[in-house]
Amino acid sequence: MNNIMKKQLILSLLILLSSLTGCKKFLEEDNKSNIVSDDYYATADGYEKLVNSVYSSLRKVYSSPYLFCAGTDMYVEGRDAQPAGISEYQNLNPDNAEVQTFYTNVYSSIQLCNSALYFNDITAPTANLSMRKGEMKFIRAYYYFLMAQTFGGVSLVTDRFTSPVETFKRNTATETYDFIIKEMTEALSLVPETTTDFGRVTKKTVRHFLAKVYLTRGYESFGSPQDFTTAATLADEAIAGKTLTTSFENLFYPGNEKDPEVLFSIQFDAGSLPSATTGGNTQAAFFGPYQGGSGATQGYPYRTYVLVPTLYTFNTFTENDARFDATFMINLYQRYYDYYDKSADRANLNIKFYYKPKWDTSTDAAWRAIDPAHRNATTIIPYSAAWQASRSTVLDNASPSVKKFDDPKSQFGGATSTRDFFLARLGETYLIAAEAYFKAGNTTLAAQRINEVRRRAAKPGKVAEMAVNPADVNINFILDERARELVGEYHRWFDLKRTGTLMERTKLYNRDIKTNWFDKGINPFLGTNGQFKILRPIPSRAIDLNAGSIEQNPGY
Amino acid sequence: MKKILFFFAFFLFLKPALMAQNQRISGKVVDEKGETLVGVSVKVKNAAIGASTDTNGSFSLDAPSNSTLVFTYIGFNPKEVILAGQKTITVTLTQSASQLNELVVVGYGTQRKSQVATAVGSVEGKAIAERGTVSPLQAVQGQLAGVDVSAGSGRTGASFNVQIRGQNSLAGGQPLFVVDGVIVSDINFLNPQDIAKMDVLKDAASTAIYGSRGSNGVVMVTTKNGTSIKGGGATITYDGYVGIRKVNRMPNFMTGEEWWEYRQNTYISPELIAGRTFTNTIGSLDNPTVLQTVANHDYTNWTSLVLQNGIQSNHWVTASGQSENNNIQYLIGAGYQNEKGNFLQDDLNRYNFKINVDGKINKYFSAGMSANFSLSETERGSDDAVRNGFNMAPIFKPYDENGNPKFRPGQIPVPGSSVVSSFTSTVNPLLEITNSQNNTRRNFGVGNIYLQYSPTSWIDVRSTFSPSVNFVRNGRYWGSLTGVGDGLLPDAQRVNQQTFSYIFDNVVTVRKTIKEHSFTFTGLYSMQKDRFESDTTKVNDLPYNSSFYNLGTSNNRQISSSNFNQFSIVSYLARLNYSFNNKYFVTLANRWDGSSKLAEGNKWSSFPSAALAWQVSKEPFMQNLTFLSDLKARFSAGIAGNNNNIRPYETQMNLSAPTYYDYGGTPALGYSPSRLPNSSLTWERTREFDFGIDFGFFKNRITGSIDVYDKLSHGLLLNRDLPLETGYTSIKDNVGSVSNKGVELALRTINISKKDFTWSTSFTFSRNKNAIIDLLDKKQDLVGNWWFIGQPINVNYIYVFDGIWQENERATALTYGQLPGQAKVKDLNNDGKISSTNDRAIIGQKDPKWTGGFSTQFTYKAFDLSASLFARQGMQVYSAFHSIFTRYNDRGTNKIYNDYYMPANNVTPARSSNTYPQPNNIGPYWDGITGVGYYKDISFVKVQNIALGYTFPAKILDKIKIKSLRVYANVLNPFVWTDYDGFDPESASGIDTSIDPNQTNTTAGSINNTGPSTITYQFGLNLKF
Repeated sequence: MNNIMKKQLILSLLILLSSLTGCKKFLEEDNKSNIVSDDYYATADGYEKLVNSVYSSLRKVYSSPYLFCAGTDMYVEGRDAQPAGISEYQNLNPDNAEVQTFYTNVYSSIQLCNSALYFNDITAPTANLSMRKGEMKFIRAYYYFLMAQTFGGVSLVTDRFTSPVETFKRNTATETYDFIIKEMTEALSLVPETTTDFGRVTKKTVRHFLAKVYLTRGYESFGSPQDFTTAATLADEAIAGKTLTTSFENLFYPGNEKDPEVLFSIQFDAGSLPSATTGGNTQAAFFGPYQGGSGATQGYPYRTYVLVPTLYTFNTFTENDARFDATFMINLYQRYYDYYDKSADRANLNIKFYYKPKWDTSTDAAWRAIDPAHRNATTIIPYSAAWQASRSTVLDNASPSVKKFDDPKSQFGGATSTRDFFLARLGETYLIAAEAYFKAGNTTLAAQRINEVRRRAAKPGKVAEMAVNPADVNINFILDERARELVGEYHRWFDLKRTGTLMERTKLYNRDIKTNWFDKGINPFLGTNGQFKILRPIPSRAIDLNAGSIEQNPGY
Repeated sequence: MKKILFFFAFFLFLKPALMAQNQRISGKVVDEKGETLVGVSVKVKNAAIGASTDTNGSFSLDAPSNSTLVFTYIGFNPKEVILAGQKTITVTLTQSASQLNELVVVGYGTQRKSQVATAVGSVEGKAIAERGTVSPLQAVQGQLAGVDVSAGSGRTGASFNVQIRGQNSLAGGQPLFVVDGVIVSDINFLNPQDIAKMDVLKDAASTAIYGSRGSNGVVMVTTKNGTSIKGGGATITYDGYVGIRKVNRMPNFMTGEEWWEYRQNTYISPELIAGRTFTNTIGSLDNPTVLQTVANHDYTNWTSLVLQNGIQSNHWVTASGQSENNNIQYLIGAGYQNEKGNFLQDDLNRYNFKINVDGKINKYFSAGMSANFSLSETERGSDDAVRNGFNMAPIFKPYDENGNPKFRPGQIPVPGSSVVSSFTSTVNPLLEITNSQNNTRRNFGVGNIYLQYSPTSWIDVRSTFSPSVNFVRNGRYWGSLTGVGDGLLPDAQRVNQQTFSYIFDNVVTVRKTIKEHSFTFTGLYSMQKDRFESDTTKVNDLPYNSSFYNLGTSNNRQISSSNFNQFSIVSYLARLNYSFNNKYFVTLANRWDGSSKLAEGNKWSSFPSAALAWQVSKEPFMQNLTFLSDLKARFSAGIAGNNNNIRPYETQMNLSAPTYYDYGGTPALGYSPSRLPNSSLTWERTREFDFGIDFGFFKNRITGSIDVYDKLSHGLLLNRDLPLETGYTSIKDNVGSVSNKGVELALRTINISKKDFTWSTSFTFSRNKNAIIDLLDKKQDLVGNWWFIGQPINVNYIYVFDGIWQENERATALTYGQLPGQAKVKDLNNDGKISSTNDRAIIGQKDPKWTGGFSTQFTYKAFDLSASLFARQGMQVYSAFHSIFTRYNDRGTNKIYNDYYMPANNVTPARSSNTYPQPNNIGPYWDGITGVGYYKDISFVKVQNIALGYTFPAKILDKIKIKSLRVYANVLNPFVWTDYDGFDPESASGIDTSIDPNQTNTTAGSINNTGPSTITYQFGLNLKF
């Protein structure tokens, strides 16, 4: 090699070597777009964001109505099918997608609560921390309450995970209820009586639900009569002497979501939706007939025709009850939303459909004659069995629509409502109190609590007709009253399950369960080993993925 | 300057001395057909004298009068001519039947095929170009044993998935693509006409050269450059075709009558079941418009409205040449591809530009660069194009009385009333498709600059810097008259993605031959960095149609987001090739890779490999076997890795996208943990043994190879589903082992080789057995993932279809909670109930049991005829097509006609079927990914193409200064044999892993990724002047 070559070789080796140094730094990760979560949650602001995400998880848990409403006496499928297992029980099995989604969503929300409670101890101290602890404990306990009602005992997971865990043991129902009561009681001591952040957990919220937890446990084999008394006391504490002053129509009128009667609601707002067409409250999309696909241009809501009121639901109202008109869109105007958008001018609107209640005995002609200009072209749909939609229903708008959840400001679509989703309101607190007093043997106080609800429900001057005597209070009356008061609110399956009336009432009032199964001599609730499918099945995914052995619920 | 003067002096001094002893020899080199060969190397044996033939095939040099001339030319047998005083000679070279001298690209270097000890498959560019496909990958389908290429979608601009020797990884994974030595993300940007050669590294010993990224195999593409275009001087080539693509083999959609009967049945079924009475107007809604349509048999053939003939064209021009002293070689090329799809609003345009220059700077240094730039624009129209296009029922009318398309043809007003009969809200495809845009514009550039230093003839030091940029803009637009636009103002979205990546490779190659021993050492130090950024904006309510070009006009922001990630890799490689006597070959290599994506302590790993080959036919004892022209045995072992399934930062717990909430209207965004992190993630490692034999018989008239391999992949990376109680869905983890064992056969025979007539055939066959060995490091099935020990990764684990419950089985059906007419599944354990734990079974695998290819070429005088055939057999998928078009509980949209079940009633005829359930009474086990209704065997045999070409005689062309001209006609997909009754079986699953690589067994594909089967007729020409 000559000198030139040597120089060149040395030069290239130098270049090579210089590129080798800095190799360690070259392999370091540089994440310009995100942050390590532990660092973020350790800050006061980051912690609040974690708490917000826990509240937000309520939206996910309540995104599908079927486990709450389907397969009950109040709703039946219309032109489109409900998830078959949920609606008619016969085909309910551990593979059911609705059950699995619910189970998954609740546990992912519980894990968020666990994280929020974990960081509560180590995050930057602020004045709010103990209050937040109470909020998080309540929400986690509430999730376990949903789980306990749905599945019985479940695994009580309280750890925040940073690495995989493979084995979970299923706790008993007794342990689960004990945990819920312990946690809610703790929460009660931590959360404030009132809040300026409407929508956060308050003492009233906790009392309402703790009352419901005791009431529910009271029915269980491991419950005690004392549970009913405790429930009644807590419910009365939640009521705190406040009467029902808002009219039923106004309580559900769009824009009135912050009524003092609302004790806890899942918050929605036009400003807090991921986009105008996604992530909204889905409640408005159910409980009525499909109205067509052009609602965006013609001003009516998207409705699925999947979960429509049964004849029982329509039937349970009487003429004196103002809740009927406040619940159903009886006069459907040419443009549906004009009911709200032109509320001051309703007298000058054309009525497209009139759903004639059973107590309207006037002839069609007489009804039209009242206002011929706006009623002559109306399609009158008289009260009949056809109000209860079926899979062979051919007509959109065949039965009256539940209007309680209408959001005239939302975009047309299934998950677009910007209205709050009520989980607890004073009217129901009264009914919880009534049921608790009734189960505790005090029919007088039970009747009193019911009569407060019925007083508000009465049409002007009909309070006396609406009042009920203590002697007439029984569990069916309470369930009927809950039906009238709570149409479309996500309580019904739990009500029937709690009161042990799921089989008898669905057999009586749910057309599909009755005609498809009971009338054919098949009890659709009857599962394996002669056991009834009252609890939901533990999803097979949960069993498959859990390295421990999980006992399946009876009947599956 | 001094140096140059010295050289001049040297030559001045030397030249006359040489001249004195030599005489001038001139001549011409032709092939067997008498056509001149350009660029043939002519050398005087044992002397430093040489030349090459010019554009007329002529050469001249000065040589001693009794010397021997050696003629070599790629693809031809070398020939020696002893001069006996002639001054002009004409030499005929014969085409070499064997590909043994062919160079194989093996990663950071090339090797002669005869010396390769590993399993490498190669396809020549010609065999890719002549298939006439838009995608280069599609063109190699069936051509390489062990390389399974399948369509990701049936749409224009579809991408293709490649699986080499079975799936190693539970998360799937594409092979590594290397274009001209540069690692790139895919090769869709290439024009097939630009490919000079594709080599596929198959066994771990060859892929271990690419270390941590090699375990899925490596596809090495060499594009055309100055040296691959044969010939000195300037050469201009043009290759191009135009074609027409016609829809064919259309599934059997219901006719008007069939649909109307089906429609009524969907209404009758629930009434029959409920035991109610019904009238024959059921389902007709008493709507006179509908009744009239039915009475008049006034039906619409929607498919003919939505579909059109596709048109395609491909043009590719290159200019190439060499400087006079051969020191500089260059090629520039430009291409244009256009494809108009079979759906309205479906098209592809792609432009390619390339430049390639290699030059010798001086005795020690050479340098070069290449750049390849491609701009492609793909328009896919509506996401609902395929579904909407076919689910309009024949009784719907596309146009209103004024001849304008109706917005929602399935909503038919009852005349003179406010009532509308709503069959379906599906938007008219004529509006949906034409008012939607899904437009992807991709600018992809890859290039490299190298400087090579060769201090002696046996050492090369080469530094290559290879940057690549990838800009992708996806624009979406939903006009007012679409399902999304919903009659309101239009919506639009824009996604910009940009990747900048660079690779800095430093390679030292040392070649030394000492007597019979020949060594090649390759050392590599390489750094790579990939940086990715993206942003997305979506708005609703554009005031006017500005497509996705002016999002600022809307004040309704839906999405505004951005993202960033980057990763880096550092690698070292040492490789030694040793051969003894050209009979025994050894390759030893190790690669060390470090990746930023893994946590500290797990970043580095090494990937060793070894390969041996024995050229048996060169042994003395084999020389008597005259029928045997070549026999080589190969054995290799190696370990290759994979961590492609790990995204950057996946070992950290970060924050999720915002969660939305408010308190009484005050917005309250939240951030939840993004994932359960796994800091112990490491590489997936595949060890592989390969034993192969390359053979040639009868003067290489029959050549081929057989390989058997055994792969075992450890520490597979995938999203492992977690117990639901953890609150997390899944975690990325190294969780199991998978075995792939298989056999590959490639065979090429020259059946007839006459002057005017040749006939050759090629045949490939491969069979792979894929089996999970353990999961979570235990012999434990992961039922939730449908993964079972001893079974392939991709299986279908569902109930077992057992026909339709018939009326006479009513009592039994009821005990299972079912009714006649519903799909029946087997009670496998006979316990009187159907349970997911006891009554599911593996009913099929998603990957083919075997694949094969067959091609044949005839030449007769100036005519050539070739055909190729491709088979994938034994795979079963969840058919996206059937999940829409045989979903017999839906009643508003069109279906394909099958003989379904329908009990006796007083309106429609009774039907008995044991294969398709009763409309609107399908039962709990038919529908969905866990149902039995839509799993289909999609085995097929396809004739990929038949091409007939004619090459004009050189004599004619000479006069018009054209070097060569071939015209051809090509037909693509003329025949398909399959039992699948949906669209094209190749894209039946509707899963496009190029869009979402993380697929699980329970992923259902999208109907929009499927498409009708087509036949394409092409006419093209290859021109060189």
